[in-house]
Amino acid sequence: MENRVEQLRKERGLSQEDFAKAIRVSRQTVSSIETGRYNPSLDLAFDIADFFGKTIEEIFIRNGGNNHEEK
Amino acid sequence: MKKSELITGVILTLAGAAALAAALLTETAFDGIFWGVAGAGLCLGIGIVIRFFRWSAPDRSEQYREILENKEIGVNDELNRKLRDQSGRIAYSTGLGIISVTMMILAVLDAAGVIRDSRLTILVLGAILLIQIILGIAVFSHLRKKY
Repeated sequence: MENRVEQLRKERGLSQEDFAKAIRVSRQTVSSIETGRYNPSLDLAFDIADFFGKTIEEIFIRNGGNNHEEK
Repeated sequence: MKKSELITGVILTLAGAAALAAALLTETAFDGIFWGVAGAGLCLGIGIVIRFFRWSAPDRSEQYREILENKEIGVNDELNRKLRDQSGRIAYSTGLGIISVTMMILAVLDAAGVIRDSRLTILVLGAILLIQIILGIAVFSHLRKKY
């Protein structure tokens, strides 16, 4: 899964630390999400989407997620 | 910091001091336990008392609030929780393996006459192994019912 968390965070001029505090997770979690090593739970994904004022689909892109539609 | 923490610190310090006095003034078979309680009580108790006075200063209240908040975030952080679950699972399986291997080694050494009277130890280890396995299954099914 790819995501635009880092891009959106940087656009708002936030450090990982500040962003982590705002969504109440550790800085390491933010870092892991941004590098794609960790996919957040649905709850956290909603929190992130709410924070940026976007939908989950606008932030998280599932690789190959539309395969079934192409068939 | 809460006053109850200071009270806990003082009680632990007093218990540690009492155990230290008992260790120094008496000569019984319990001396080892007294030393242990003295060390644990004094170290923990004094540590809590020092921490209370350090963080109760008005100019440090904001810093302390931040530390508590970070601590709470760290405890509830979902990645940390996931990693804790994962490490718990690994530690559980490793523990089962270690107990099983230890039982086998003890049984072989006992049979070879290298060590004596290891039957009780093997039985205790077997009981621990059984309890761990049963507990693991019981807790899993209990949690499964919740979902």
